[in-house]
Amino acid sequence: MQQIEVTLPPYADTIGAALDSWNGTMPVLAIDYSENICGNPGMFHGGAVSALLEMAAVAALEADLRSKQSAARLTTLNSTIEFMRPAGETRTFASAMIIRSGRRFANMQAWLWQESRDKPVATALVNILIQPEAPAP
Amino acid sequence: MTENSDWKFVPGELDEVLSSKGHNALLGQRYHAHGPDWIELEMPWQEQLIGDRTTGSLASGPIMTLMDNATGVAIWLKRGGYLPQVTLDLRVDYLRPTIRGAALIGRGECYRMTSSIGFVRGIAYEHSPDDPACHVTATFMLL
Repeated sequence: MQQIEVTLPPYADTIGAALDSWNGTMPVLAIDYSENICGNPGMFHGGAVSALLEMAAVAALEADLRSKQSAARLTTLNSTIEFMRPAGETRTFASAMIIRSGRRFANMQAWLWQESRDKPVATALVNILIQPEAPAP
Repeated sequence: MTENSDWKFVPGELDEVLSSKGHNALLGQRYHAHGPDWIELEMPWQEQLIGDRTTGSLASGPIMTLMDNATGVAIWLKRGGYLPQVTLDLRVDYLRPTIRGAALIGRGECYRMTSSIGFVRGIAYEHSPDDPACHVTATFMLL
């Protein structure tokens, strides 16, 4: 299995989101509960849940493109998040799969869970624009 | 409805709810403005919230948090009180990157409410609502 680096935005460090492991070729991100991501008392803020889902989608697409040596600039076009269960004060994971990835555009599905992957806390459809990386100056 | 009870929604007092702790405090969100059927929150630009190092535009996480809050607060405004609710779904369209160094304003509006659901929409912008960086629709379950 490949162990490709994933690059997360500075905001990921701010909230403590990081690469946890690889599920086959797909990165699994994780975040520990902290005061910094608390919404209602004892629960993750929906915004933090949304952030981890979207980062998982971008990381999964980036890992796939890197494995094919096709570096690209990725821009999220939109995200639709479905909130299914409250996210309590435990370590939380997110991963994503590619539904379709073309030359210019990818449709991703991401999901986020706590105790069990079979019980998603939230899922997301994330559409990402793929643009060729500008040549080095 | 009881006047001046604890749960009565007063827009000008929102900052106590928003900035006291948790993720909202980290993001520094505060009340900006409101009208009869809309309300705006403001989030200052911070280096630690950026998503793209080269452009300095914000990560989507802070934007989604801002819009989840702005649309949720719009329902409190419509219901007139801090009543419990949960986000069912939230869609964000990123129309353009946000501007480095500029505070982002999130405007939420509850355009329809049933006995169980609040339908909301909103935009985020830095300088003018005519030039939004994002557009949002969401539904909330009213508890």
